[in-house]
Amino acid sequence: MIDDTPQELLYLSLEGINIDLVISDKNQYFEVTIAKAQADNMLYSTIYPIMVYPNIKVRKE
Amino acid sequence: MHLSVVKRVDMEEVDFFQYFGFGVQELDIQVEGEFLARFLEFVNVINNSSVMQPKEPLQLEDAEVRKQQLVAKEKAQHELATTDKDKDKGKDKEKGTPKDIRVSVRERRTSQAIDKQDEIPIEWVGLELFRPSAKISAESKPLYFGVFHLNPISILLTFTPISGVRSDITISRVLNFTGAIENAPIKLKYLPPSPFRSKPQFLNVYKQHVGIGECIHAESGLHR
Repeated sequence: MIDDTPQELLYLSLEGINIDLVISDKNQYFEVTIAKAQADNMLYSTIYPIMVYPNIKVRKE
Repeated sequence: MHLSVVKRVDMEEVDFFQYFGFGVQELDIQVEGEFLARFLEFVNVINNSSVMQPKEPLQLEDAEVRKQQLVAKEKAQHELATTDKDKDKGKDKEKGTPKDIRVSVRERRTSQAIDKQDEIPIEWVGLELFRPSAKISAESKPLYFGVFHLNPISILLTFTPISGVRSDITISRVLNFTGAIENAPIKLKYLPPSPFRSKPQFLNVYKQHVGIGECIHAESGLHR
C-alpha cells in the first residue's frame, strides 16, 4: 500500500489462500481460508517493522 | 484465518445467513502512532477523492459516452458560432430562445473542459439520455443469522503513541473504541428467532432483553 505522498505504508503478504464458492438454487456457500497473513510496516522510522503476524506457539509434549 | 458463510439466495425480504463462522489464529499486532496517523490520513484522502468523483453513466460504455460528448461539443460550437454571428450582424434573435443560449453556453464550458482534461465531471446539459437516476435506495435489507459463530480470537495488541506528533481526534476515537470493546455487553441469544418480524416487534424484544431501549440509538457503538 502506497499513500498519496507517495510513500510505502504497508506490505501485506498472504499465504495458502483457499477460496470455495458453491452456488445452488437455494444456497450460496462461501469459504475462505488463509494459512498465514503478515503485514509489515514500511515506514523508515518504525520501531515495529512487522506489524501483524501470527503467534505460532510450539507445543512441547 | 477462516471465514465460512452459507446464505440463502431465495429470500427477498432479508439477507438470510444460515451459518456465519469466523476464526483467526492468535495474532500479535504492533502499531505505532505515526503509522496510524498516516494510515488514517490516507483513508481520508481516498474517501475525499471518492466523494469528488463524478457519477458516471454506468449503463453505457466509455466509447459511447465520449461519442456523445463530442457530438454535444460540436453542437455547442455550432450554436455558439451561430449566436455570435447573429449578434455581430445585429439580426433578430429569434433563432435561439434564451433557454437555448443558456444551454449552449453551458455546453461550451463543458466542451472547453473536455479539451483541457478528459476526466471532468460531466454537465448533463444536452445529455439527458445519460443523466443518472436521482432515485437512490437508502434502505438495505435486514440481516438474519441462523448460526453466528465467532471463534475465540486472541490478539496481543501493542500500541506506541508518539507524543507531540499528531494528536488527531480520529486516533483518540479509535483508541477509545478499542478500549471499550472489552466491556461491550453484546448478548444475542435472546434476539427474535424469526427474521420476518416487523421493526417495532424487534425493538420490543430487544428492549426486553437489554433493558434500556435508548442504547440502540447510542452513538458510542458497542458499549453504553
